[in-house]
Amino acid sequence: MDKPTLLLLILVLTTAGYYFGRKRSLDIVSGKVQELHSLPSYYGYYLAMWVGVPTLLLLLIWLGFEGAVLSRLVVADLPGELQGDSGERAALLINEIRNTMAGAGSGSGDPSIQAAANHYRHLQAVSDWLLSLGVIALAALGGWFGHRQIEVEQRARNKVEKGTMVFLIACSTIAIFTTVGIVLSVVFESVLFFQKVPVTDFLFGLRWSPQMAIRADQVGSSGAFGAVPLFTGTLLISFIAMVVAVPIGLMSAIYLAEYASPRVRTVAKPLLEILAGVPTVVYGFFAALTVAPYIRDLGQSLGLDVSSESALAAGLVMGVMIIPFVSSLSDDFINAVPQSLRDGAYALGATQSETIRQVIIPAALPGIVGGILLAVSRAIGETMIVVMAAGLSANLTANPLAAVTTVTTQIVTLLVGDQEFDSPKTLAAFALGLVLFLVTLMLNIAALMIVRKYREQYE
Amino acid sequence: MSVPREGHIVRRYDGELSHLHYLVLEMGALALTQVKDARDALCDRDLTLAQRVIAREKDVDACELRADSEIVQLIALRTPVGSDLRLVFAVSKSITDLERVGDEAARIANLGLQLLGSEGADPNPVLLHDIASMGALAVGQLENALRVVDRWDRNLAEDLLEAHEELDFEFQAAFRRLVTFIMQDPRNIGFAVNIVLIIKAFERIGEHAQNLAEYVLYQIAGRDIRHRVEP
Amino acid sequence: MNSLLELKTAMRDERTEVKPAKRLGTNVSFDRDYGDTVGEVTASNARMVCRDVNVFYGPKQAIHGVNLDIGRNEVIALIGPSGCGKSTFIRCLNRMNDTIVGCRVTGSIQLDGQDIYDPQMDVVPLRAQIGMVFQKPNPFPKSIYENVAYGPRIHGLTQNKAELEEVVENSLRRAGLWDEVKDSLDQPGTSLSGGQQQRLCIARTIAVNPEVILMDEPCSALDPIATARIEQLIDELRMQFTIAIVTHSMQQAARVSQRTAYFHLGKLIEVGETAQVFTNPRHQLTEDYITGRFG
Repeated sequence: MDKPTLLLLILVLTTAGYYFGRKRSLDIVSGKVQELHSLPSYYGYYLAMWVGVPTLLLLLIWLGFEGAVLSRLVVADLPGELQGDSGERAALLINEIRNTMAGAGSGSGDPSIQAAANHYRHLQAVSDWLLSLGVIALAALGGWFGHRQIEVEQRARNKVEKGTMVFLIACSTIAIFTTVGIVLSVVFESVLFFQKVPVTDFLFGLRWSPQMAIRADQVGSSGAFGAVPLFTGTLLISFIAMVVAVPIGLMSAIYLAEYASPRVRTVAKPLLEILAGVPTVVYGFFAALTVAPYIRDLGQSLGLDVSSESALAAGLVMGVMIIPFVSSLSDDFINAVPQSLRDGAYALGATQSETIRQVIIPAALPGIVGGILLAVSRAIGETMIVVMAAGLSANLTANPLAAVTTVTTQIVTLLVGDQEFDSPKTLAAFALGLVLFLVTLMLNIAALMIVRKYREQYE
Repeated sequence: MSVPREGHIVRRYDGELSHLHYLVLEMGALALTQVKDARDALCDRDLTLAQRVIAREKDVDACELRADSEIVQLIALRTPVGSDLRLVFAVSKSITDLERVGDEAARIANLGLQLLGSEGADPNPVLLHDIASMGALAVGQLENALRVVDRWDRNLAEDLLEAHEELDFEFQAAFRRLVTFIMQDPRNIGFAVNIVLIIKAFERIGEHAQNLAEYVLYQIAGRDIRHRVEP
Repeated sequence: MNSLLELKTAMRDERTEVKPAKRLGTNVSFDRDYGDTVGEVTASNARMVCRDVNVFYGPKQAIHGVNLDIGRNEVIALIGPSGCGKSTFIRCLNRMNDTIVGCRVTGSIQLDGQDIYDPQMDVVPLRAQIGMVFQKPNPFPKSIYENVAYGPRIHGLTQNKAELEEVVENSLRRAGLWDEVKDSLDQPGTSLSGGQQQRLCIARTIAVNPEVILMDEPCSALDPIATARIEQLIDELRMQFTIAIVTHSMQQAARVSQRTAYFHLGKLIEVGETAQVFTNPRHQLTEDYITGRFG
């Protein structure tokens, strides 16, 4: 049996287990459900668990190890001259054998490869057969055991509940382990990078020129990996974005939460949130094709020297993109300020703007700050707009009219095109990614801590 | 008008209030029996009946103690207001008055024993006649008062209060007759004093009956009509 | 010392003053028709006079033709089942209902002879004259000092810092909170216990020296001890302010007020001396409500 059929079989067996478990429980008490500890369906689930879980585990484990074991067996049986000595060659061989099996035909000329392919196919069949046998045996064993366990006093419900909990834990662990895996891979690659380029050079170097010599005598053979221009570029653009987003977002939030009539609010708030739904690449070409030339023309008419790709253009558009973040979160937090505080201020004779400035904003401030921090981390991590509108030149400047580049942009450019995975140029991307990750992580944690503290204050 | 038409939201409260009412009636019945027996003991010269009245006095006291503790509990636990408060207050006052009625009955029985049980006691039947008529009046008023308490009957209560002077007149008349007797034959003075005390006790019983009617009026009308100045 | 003595004498007079004509109530003649309300709605020394007050929330009428006087230096308790309009009514008295969309008030409400719903009336000074304390303690997210100083600040009541400090201390003293917080004035107001917070809110209200204080179920979130403190405070404040209090606790109404008004389905059913209302209510609905015959 091949694997999909086997999976189907397991499902069928599990369903059967459910029905037999249910029936068994009813038979025990001859239909008097009240005498059972749990409802009959729980006994069904219980038996189904005994059938389904071990067999599925077996299937998964088998799938995990089958390829490696079979390959090893096939390679071991190859004639000595083909085996070679390096692991890489073995991997190539396996690929070739598999291709032959699939009938792709590349390298099928070699008879020994052909033989190996046949051998492989044979082993595969045996493995499938063994697996089917194992699954059926395990299902039978589990079914028998579970069936025997069903008694009047058996606490099937509690066990099924526990089983459900374990399943849910497993699901959440997958998400956590994926994150941990990503972090670890970034960290390992970064360590490789730092073996080639010292950490201090990376963090404090003032020149960014990430190329490596292919020939030793090439001009500019030594690349420079000082990330400071990237950091300052990122900060500059984020700063411009926040200068745009925070006042506009906050004030629109105040308007929506405090002044707007319910009708205006129901229309305006979703409209504002549409901004958040615009794909960033659209913002990107808007910034590059509309805003940047406009700013350049404006600058020229004022006699300023503006590069066609400027931090200002990217920052402005990014700020617009972030407005809904700030306004939506601030709006939520302003609304979360209890009505009783407003009443208290009004009852003292405060006007609406006094109430907002002196009572509501201070009360909502922690939440607003948290929302702004989240927006900042979003701005730092933003890529598309900057790639398209801010340029690629790593200038160390605070002039918003100049072209700058950011961490994310550089990661993109480093990884676009053909890469050598052991050159510092490529590995630098991982180091930059690690820095980015740490910074946004800290911002997020800070934001969440502030927000949580605020939540506790007003239940 | 303020008689509870429909029950409280907390139904046990209703039960507790009606139990208080029941206690007053029970105690009233007991007091009435005491008064009747005391009167009968005198009129029939039945010394054992008089003894029984004296012995039963402690039952009336026990009844009062029981009612008092229930009232205190109800006030503490339910904090009655409005008509409930007036009911509890009226019950509390009524209990006190009924206990006094019981005391008076026992006193009459005691005086009866002295009057009839002493050496050569054979008072002139004419003297005893006043006891019978005063007793009948007092018993009648007490019966009416208990009827008022039973039914929370406003009209009956007002009628009863109208009749408050009857006993007074009767007492004055009997007193004058007794004085005449004493002047005719000073040897009668021993009996006469006893008899005055007895008819005074009957008069007091009538006053307590009046009080009961006043409490009921206070309870149902919310007006305090005690000690009012006659127009 | 002299003024204190006078105050005490005044207090004694007030407490022992008996109004037999009012107590029986039957022979009081009304010079006007005050609807179906039982009892004496007028007060001889009225500070607030409400005549034919109707409140609408959109098409729904929440208050039906209420006539009520609130006398000088008295505590009037508004009681009634949930949704009877007592909170709505009290919120009319300082125009807090203005903040509710779709709320409309008709009739006249006068404070010392001046109609507070006059279009010329500015609600800002009005609300300084008529303070309000709410159901849930709602100290601002500021320090204790700033909470109390807030009202005098926005109304510009003090000339300098020393004066402001004096007002704050005075208000906290009058609210009976000074001894508990004098060493922690810079702590946030929210760090206090519920009862202290409510007293802080009262201190905040009296800091602007209002003439009338409205209290909307001020003790419903407090434990009995904190409640007793507030009740004691209300009794003390009565000497200087006019107080209207909405409460769900009839016992509280009985304990703190001199007059009680009973609302039912948006109508003022009965108003009278508290002692009379609680021993001998004249309207059957009042009787049924206070004795717990319906909820």
